[in-house]
Amino acid sequence: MKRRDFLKLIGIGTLVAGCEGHLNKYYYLRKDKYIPYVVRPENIPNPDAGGGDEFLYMPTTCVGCPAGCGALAAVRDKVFDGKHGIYATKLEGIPNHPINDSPLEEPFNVGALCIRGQASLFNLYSPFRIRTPYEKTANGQFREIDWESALKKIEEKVKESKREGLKNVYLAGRTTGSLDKLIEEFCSSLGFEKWPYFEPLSHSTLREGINIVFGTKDIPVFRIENSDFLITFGADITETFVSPVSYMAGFSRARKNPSFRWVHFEPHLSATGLSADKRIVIKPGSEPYLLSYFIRWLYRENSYKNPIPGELVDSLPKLSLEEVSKRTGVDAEYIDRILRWLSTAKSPLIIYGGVSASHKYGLEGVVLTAILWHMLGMVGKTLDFKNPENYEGVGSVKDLIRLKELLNKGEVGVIFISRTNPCYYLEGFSESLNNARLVVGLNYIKNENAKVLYNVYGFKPKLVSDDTPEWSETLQSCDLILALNHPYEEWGDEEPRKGLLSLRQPIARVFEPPENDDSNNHPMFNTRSEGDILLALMGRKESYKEYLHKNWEEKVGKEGIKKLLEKGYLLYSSKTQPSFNAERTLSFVNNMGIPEAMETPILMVIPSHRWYDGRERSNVLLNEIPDNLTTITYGEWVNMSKETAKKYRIKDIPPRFQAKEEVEISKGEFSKKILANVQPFMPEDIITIHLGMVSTKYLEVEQRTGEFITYIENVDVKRTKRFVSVPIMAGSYSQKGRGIVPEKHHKKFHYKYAKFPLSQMPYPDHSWVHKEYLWGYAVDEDLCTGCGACVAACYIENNCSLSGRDEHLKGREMSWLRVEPYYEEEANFVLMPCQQCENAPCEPVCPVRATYHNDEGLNVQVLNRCVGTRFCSNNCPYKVRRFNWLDYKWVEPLDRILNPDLSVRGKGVMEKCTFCYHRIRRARINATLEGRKIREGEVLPACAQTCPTGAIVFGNLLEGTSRVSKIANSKHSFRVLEELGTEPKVWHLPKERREV
Amino acid sequence: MGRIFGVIILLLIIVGVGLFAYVWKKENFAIEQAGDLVVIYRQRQPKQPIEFPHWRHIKKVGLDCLFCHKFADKAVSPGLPPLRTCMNCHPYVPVAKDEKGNPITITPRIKKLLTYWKEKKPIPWVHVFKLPDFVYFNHKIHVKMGVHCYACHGDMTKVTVAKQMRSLRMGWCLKCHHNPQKYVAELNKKEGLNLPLPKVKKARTDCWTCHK
Repeated sequence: MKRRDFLKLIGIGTLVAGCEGHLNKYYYLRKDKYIPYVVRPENIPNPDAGGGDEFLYMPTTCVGCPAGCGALAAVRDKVFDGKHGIYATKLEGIPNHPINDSPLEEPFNVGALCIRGQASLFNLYSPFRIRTPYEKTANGQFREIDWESALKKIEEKVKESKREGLKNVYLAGRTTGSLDKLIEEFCSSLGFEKWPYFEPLSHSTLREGINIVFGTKDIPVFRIENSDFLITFGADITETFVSPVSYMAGFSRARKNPSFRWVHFEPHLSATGLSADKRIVIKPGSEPYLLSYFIRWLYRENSYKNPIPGELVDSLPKLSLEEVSKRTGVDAEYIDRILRWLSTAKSPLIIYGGVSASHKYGLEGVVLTAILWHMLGMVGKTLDFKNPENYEGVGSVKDLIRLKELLNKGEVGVIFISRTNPCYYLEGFSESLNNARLVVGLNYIKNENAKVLYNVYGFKPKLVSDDTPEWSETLQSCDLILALNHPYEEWGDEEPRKGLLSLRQPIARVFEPPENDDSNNHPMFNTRSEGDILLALMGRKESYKEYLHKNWEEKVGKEGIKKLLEKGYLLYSSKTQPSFNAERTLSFVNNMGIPEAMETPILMVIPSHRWYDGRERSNVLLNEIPDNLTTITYGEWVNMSKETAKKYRIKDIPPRFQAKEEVEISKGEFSKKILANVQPFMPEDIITIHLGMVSTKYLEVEQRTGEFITYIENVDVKRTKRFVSVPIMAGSYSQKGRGIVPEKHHKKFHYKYAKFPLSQMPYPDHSWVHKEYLWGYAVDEDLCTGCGACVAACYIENNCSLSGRDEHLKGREMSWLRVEPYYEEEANFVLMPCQQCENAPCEPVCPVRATYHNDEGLNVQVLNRCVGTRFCSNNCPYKVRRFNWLDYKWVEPLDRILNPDLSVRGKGVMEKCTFCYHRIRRARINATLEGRKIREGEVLPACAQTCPTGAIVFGNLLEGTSRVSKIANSKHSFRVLEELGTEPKVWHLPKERREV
Repeated sequence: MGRIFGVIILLLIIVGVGLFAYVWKKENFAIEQAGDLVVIYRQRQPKQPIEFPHWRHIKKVGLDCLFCHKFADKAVSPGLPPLRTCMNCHPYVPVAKDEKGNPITITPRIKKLLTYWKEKKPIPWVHVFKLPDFVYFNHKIHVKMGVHCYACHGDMTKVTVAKQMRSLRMGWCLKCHHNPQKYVAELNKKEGLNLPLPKVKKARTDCWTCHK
C-alpha cells in the first residue's frame, strides 16, 4: 500500500468514527427518545426537542442582590429524566421597568441587568443546592429526612418551648412584600418574635443619617439622569451600591447632557472611580471635613436654594481651605473648582455611602451630605423619596448582637434562620446558637461562601477547595435544615422600592403527567417554598400561591393583579417628599465627632462586584469571570499600591506569570494569609480585600448605627516568602506602546498606516458580497464602566464552557468576550469580542475552510468543519478565539442552563464570538416571513442587550442612518490595531475625561 | 486445481452478493443521488413503542400532517401530539372489522395506547428524522415557504412506522437550497407525487444558515 492510500484510509476511518466528533460527548441536546406530553398545558413555550429557538419570556424579579430589578426569563421546554419541564436559560431586564429601565431609546430599549443578575441563574442550577431537608444526628452529621417528620419536630419543639416559657425567634435575610406580611402573621400566631432582618450591607448608617435630617429611614432613589453635576463619596454606584443598574442607566442618560460632570471621592480604588470624569483620592475617614467646608462655603457665598439655620453652620468645624486640603489630602485647587461647579450647577446630586459611610465618622458624613441635599434643593429633583428603596424591617449588626446576648442567656427556644448566614459575619454567633433548643435553618444553597475551584476534569475532580466545609457556618450549627426553593422556582412577590410591587413566578419547574394539572408541577428537587412551610406550620390549609393572590387583591385589586401578571411589576402608591428637620440636625451637629486621621496601613474590607457581600462566592460563573480591576478569576488576593508593596518588599510580579507573593496580614486576633496583588492607581497605605474572601467577624461595629466599620487600622503586613499561582486573565496591564486605545501620539500613527492598498493585502476583496447586511458593533467606552455584565450574558447565551481554576492557569479560559483593563496614564476598559475583520487573518490559514467570510460581513466559524489545527488562533492579532482542549462539563444540574440555540462544543474545536448569530437568524426568519428587511434594533447580541449603560451598539453598516454606521463614520471612533489593515468591524469611542 | 479454485471463487461471489443483498434489504440501505454525489444511506426505521400507522391516518382517515404535528408551521420543532390528542378519537372510532363484519374499536395497538393513558405515561417515541446538534433546522420557515412535508420526509402514505426516506446529508439539503422549485419538480416526476412548488427559486446557502 502506498503512503497516500494509507493516509486516505485513515482519513476515511476518522471521518466515519468522528462524524459527531466535534460535539461535546456529555451533552447531546437532541436525544434519541422524543417524549411528547400526555396533556399539553397552556402558556408554556413551544416544544423544542433540542432544535433551539423556542422560548417564552416570563417576567420575574432578579435575586442577584437586594436591588430587585425586573427580569424577563427566557424559558424553554426541556426534557430531563423523561419528564417535561420549563427551564430558564437566560435572563434579560424588563424594558421600561422603574428600576432597571435601559437608557436606550425605543428600538434598543430591551432591558438591562448587571453581572450578578445575569449569573443568578447559576445559583438556581447550582451544584451546591440543598435538595432535601436534613436533620442533625447525635454525632453532628446530617441525615436526610422527609418533610412531614421535619415539620412535626418543629411543632413539638415550639410546644415544648411554650411550656418552658422560652422565647422563639425568626431571623431572616431581607424580605419584602407578601412574605414579609406572612412572616409577621406566622410570628404572631405561633408566639415567635420577628427579629429585624439581617443584611450584611444594610446601609444602616445612611438610613440613620437620613432619619436625623429628614425624619425618615428611607434611602431615596438617586435620579442621576436629572442631574448635571454628580459627586459621589465612596458609593460604588456601578458595582454594589444599593441599586447599581438603575444608577448606571441614570449615568448613561445624564451623559447625553454635554455639561454633565461626575466627581468621585474614594479612599481606595474601585471601577466606579475609574469611570468618573475625575477620581479624587481622599484620606480615609476625612469626608466630614470636606463636606462641612462645602456647607460653610455655600452658605458664605449665598449660593444655596433652601436656607439652613445659621447656628448650624456656626457649629461646624471652622477650618481654612488649606487645612481642609491637608486633612483630606485633596488638592485645594480641586476643592475650589468643585465648589464652583456645585454652586453653578442647575441640579446637582451628591451620593454618599459605601466605604465612606462605613468608618467611625460615616454618620457625620451622611448627615452633612443630607444637609447639602436640603441646601441645594435636591429633594424632589434629583433625590426621589416618592418610591424609596425598601429597607423596611432591615436591622443592623446591633440587632444581631442583641440576639447573640439573648441566646447566651439561654432564653431562646426555637430559632428560625432563613436565607441568611449570620455566623459568617458575626463572631461567636455559631457558639451561642448551641444554647437554643432547636435551630432551624432555611436555605437553598449549602454553602454560599464555598471557595469554588471547578477542577472537574481529570482523575480527581474537585469542585471546591479542600478547606471549604460542605455546609455554611450557620447551617452547620442548625439542628434541622429545611430545603427551600430557589426564589426562581416559586410564586412570590417583592417590593424592592416602597409602592412598587414586583412579581416572582416559577421559571424552572418540572411537570408530572398529566401536565395540565396545576398541582402536578414541582420544583427540581424535594424543596418547598418558605411561604408554604410557614402556612403548614400555622395549620392553614391554603397554599402560598392562594395567599399571594389574596394579598395582591387587597393591595391592588383584580385589575392590578392582571397588570402585575402581565408586566411583572406595578407601581401602586407613592409617598410624599419629607421635609428638613432643623432641630434634630442641629442637635446632632452640635455633638458631632471630629474625625481623626487613621493609622496606616489600613485594611479595607469592601464589597466585590462579583460576590456582592460574599453571598455569591459559590456561584461558579462569577468565579469564572475575571474581577474587573485585576482580572483574577479563581482565587483570593488583596490589592495594594506599588509604593506600599515596596515598603514591605513584596514583589510586583507581572500578571503574565500567573503568580503572586503571599503575605500575612494580621491585627490582634485577625490574621489571614493571602496573595498580594500590586494594583496600579491604588492610593498608598491602603490595602483592600473583598467581602467573601474574609468574614466580617473581626470588624468593629459602629455603636450609633450598627454598621460594620470596614477599616482595620494599623495592620501588620508580613511576607511569608511563598509564591502561589493564581489565574490572571490579562497578560499585561500595559499596552506596551501598541496603541490599543490610541492616545494622541498614537492617533498620528494610526492615520499614517490606516489605509493599506488592497493590492498589497493577502486577502480577497469581498465587499461585493455584502448586499443586504453588514453587521457592525460599536462600544462607547465613555459609557462603559467595566462592570462585566456583558461577559456574564455572553457566557450564558452562548454555552461558553466553565473551564475551572487549573485550566485557567494554563490560559484556557473560554469566554468569547472579555473586558481588558489597561492602566497607563489613564485607566481604560476595552471590550474585546471577535472583531469580525473584513480582512481576517484567521481565514487564509484555515486548511479546511472552517472559517470564512460570509455575505453579512461576519467571520464565520463552522464548528463541525473545524479539525482543530489552531492556526487561526495563532494568526489572530486580537486573541479572541478559544480552543476546546477538553470536553468541558457542566456539573449537574448546571447542564439545565444550556442554550439549545447553539451546539455544545466538544474537544478539538475552535470557537469564537458570532455576534450572537442565532439571534440574527431568528430575526431574519421573522423578517422573511413578513417580507421585509431586519429592522434597526430588532436584533441585538446578548452583551448589547444587557449593558446597563447602553454602551454597546449593534446594527447594519449598510444602512447609513443606523446608530452603528454613524459611530463608524465618526472621526472620533477608532478600531483596535487598525494599522494592521484587518479592517475590524468593532468600533470604539474613546473614553473622555471631561475637565472639572 | 484451477477449476476448483474457480468454483470456490464463484461460490464466494454468490454468497457475498447474497449476503450483501440480504444486509441491504434488512438494514434498509438506499441510494440517493444529490447533484454529482451519490450517497448510500441507511433508511432508519427504529422500533417504536407503538407501530403507529401513518398511512392509515393520512389515507383512510384523511388527516392533515398539521393535525397532529401542529407546531410544524409555528415553531422550529413540529412537536409530537400529546397523548390527549390520540384520546380524542380512540377508542370511540371503529378501526377495523371482526370476522362477522362488525366494527371494532380496540386493537392490540390501541390497547397499548389505552394502557399509556391509564398510567398517565408519555409514549417514549424514538427520533426518526434525527439531525445532529450542530444543525439548525426550522420547520416553520420551510412550511411557510411552501415546502411540502413529503419533500423532506418522503411519502408518508406508504409507511406504517415512520421511516427515514431521505439521506439528510448536507448535499441533499443543498440540492434543494440551490433551487427548491427544480428539486420538488424533479421529485414529483421521480416519485409520482403531486407536491406544490415552493415559493422561492433560491434559498440561503451560507454555512451559518443551518450550522450552529
